[in-house]
Amino acid sequence: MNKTKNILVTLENLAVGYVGKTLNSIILSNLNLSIAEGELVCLLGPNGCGKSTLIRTIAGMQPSLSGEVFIKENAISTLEIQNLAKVVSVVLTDTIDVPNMTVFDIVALGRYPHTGWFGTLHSKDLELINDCISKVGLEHLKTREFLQLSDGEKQRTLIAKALVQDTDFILLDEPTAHLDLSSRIEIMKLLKELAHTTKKSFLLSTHELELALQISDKIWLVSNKEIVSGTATELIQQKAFETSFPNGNFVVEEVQGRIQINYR
Amino acid sequence: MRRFAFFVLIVACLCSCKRASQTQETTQHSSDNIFKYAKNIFFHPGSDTVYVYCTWNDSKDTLVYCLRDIKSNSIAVISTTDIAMLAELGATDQITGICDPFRTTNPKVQERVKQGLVQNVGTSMETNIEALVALNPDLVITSAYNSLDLKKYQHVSCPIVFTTSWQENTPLARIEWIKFVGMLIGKTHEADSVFAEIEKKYLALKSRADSIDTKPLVLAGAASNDIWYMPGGKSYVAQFIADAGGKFIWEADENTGSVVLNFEQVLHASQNADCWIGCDEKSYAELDAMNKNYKLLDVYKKKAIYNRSKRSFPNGGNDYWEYGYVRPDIVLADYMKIIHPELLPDYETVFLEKLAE
Amino acid sequence: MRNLLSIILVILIPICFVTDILFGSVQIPLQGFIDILQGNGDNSLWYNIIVRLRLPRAISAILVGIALPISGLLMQTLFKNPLADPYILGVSTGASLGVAFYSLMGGITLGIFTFLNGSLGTAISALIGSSIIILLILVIAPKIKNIASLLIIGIMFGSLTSAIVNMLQYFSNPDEVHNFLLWTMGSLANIDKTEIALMIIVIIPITIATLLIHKPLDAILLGENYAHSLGVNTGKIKIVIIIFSTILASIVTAFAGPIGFVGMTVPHIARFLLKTNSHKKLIINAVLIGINLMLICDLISQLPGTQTMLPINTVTAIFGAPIVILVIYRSRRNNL
Repeated sequence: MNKTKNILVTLENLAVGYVGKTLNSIILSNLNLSIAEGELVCLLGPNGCGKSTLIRTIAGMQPSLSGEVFIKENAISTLEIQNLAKVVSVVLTDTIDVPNMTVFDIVALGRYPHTGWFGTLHSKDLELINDCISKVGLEHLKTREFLQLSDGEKQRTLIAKALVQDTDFILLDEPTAHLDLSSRIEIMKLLKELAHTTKKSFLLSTHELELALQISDKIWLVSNKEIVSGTATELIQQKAFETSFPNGNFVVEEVQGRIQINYR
Repeated sequence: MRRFAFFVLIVACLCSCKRASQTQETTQHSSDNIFKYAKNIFFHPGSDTVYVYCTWNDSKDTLVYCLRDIKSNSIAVISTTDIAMLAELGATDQITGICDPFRTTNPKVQERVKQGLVQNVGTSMETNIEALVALNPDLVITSAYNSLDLKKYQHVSCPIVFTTSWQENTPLARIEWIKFVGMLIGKTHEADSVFAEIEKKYLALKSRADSIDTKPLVLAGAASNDIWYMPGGKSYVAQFIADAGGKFIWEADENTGSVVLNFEQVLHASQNADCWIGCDEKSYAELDAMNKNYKLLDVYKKKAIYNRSKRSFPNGGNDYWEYGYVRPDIVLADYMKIIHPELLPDYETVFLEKLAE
Repeated sequence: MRNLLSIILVILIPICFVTDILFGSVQIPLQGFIDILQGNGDNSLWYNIIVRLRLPRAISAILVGIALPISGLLMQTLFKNPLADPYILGVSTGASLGVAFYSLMGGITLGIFTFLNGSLGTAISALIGSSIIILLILVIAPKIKNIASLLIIGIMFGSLTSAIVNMLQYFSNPDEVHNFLLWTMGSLANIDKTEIALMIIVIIPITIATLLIHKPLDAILLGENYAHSLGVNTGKIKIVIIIFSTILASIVTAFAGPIGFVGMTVPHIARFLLKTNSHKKLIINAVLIGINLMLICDLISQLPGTQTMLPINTVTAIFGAPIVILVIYRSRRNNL
């Protein structure tokens, strides 16, 4: 791992949660983490531990309770929405239920922050759209209606859209949720490839423990309302997984250079 | 307490009606009917049964009333025209219940309302059956507009009389029903003489108008947006116009009710009309506010528009529909004053008025 | 191909317009038209019918055909509901409440009402009624996170005002109720030059403004979260959509009464013909389709050649109902 990579994203004393009338509900706090350029980070943890909340906060969709998120030295709370959109893009679990939109149409929407008043797509935009569509392996479905795709293909479309938005940082919230096994593997592999080829930074929350451990450069593991960060190996040595998943019937080990989950 | 045998035999009537109506049809045309103008009511002098014929859109009903020992000290009257009929017969003191009491135009009844002697038995949209039952009058006089209305009061034990004078399409036929009202309150002589007076005056006026050859062209009805509600060629409005010596622009039509026309058609048909009688507005400003297209009519340009609101009141009542209903002779005189002013030089109209400029 | 459709629609407009003016209850001889075109016959019967009666109605039809489809399209995008129409937030029931108070309070005439007679009074009271509803919605909308909740609130407002209107009708006399019922049937007639000018001043700028925000409208289709991530200020755009849509709906309702089906069905016709959800194309073509459709409906409502006519709402319903059925059927298929 090239340790001299530039830092893209910094979380400084970040606390995330929900503002209440009398009391704020703190989901995660004391977060001091960073993501380097070109890094793929997986956010892991038990259900309900606040992964989505963190993703939404970093994406600027909800305010933090305290602390700050910096992307390339800019605090996101100071950025206008339009400028934030040029810096971070997202892939969410929201269902898109719009008929009459092709894969191309959906991906093209990713150019939104970069096009003018009338949304005209110039040749540069068109090139980029086609390029991203082929990066996710959907050229043959470019003109297919989005609603007619399989779940895996839909997810790939949305990833292409995030790519086309041309941000340095891409956030994914449970990108493999609701997918069948082969699609899950397909998506995680795709993300790994993209991290390697595009040099963009990726942060994704997921339940896919095994796949996450294999593809990620770094892991953020939620534990006791805080996050432990490190490579898979480091975390194994710290026995971080057992602490984070106290009721889990598994042990994470490094066997012959490979990370492995052994179920009890 | 003797309850008089007075009942409405609707169902029984329809069964026996076939036989009865057949005989009715033959006797109807005989001069035995005391009603000379009204076509929907039959009474043979000397008998004690009145037949009221109702013709609805899809059915007919015959109502049979036996007039024996009718008590009428306390009468609930549902429609304002029947109030006027009772008033003409001097029977306002017997009225103890009306609908929309604030809307009546009869001063004596208004006084009784103020004194609390008249109960409110509902609105013109809906009779308050409970109030009616609580009042427990000797007699209820009401009207019916369809077959269902006849069944509205079936749970009320007071005697109910349905009058359908509105189905008559000549003015004299309508007022002739006063004879029936007279029978109900035991004032047949008064009713007969009241009617005879009105008939005499009406026919006298009519013959004067008949003697004139020129017949001015008259427009009637009024518009709502681009729909013009035109009285039918055989309606009572058409009759008034004809009897007053005018020519109704829609006289060729066969309808007795209103006809829905497009404003365009009326514009076309009323091109040479001499006057328009029948709006409700009191000034040209009001007329314009009601419908911007009235100003396109020739009669508007000639400023020959007459309303029916000379005796209308802010409370929503219009005497044209109350007193005017029972004095067709006065209404005819009004029409004649407008259509042939030379015939009645000293007369001043009562219900109809020229629009203020 | 898609441009061809727009071109056809544009060519159709003058054809429909002229046809609507040519035909009506009264048959006008060719000489009549020639007279008018030559500038003669001012104030003649034919002039009155064509220029004073039919022309304003045709222009009103055009304006309604622009305003209602745009209003409906905005509501369909905001709520992502294909059955949304311009009145879904309660604009027409608010207007009818205003008109009900105005026309059904006749027996209890307050001094203020007497100077606002007839159609001007009706229009103003309709505007006041719908504005109150709009303001209530705008006050509540920012506080509601879930757009579906706003929908329910709008529907509830509608039910409440309907109940009040029914009560007012119950206590009125038959004439007043009849007038009120006539208003609810909608009518393109009796709209004069000033009112047409008012409609133009309101409808045209808002329609153009809607076209200018077609980009965020497209983004909203993906959902608020995605729209936000693309840089759309979702709070602001929702308010703008509500304002544009309700103003268009209420200005039409004020002068023409509630005209149904057009606002909901025309966007669907556009989607069906163009097979797209791009708002730029939809807005332009919805306007073109709406204009043509309203002119045709107006022509049909006059039932030329017969002595009678149909209320405009009846005609729009005849067109609209089959399309609604088609939409439900198609969306059932998509939600497998």
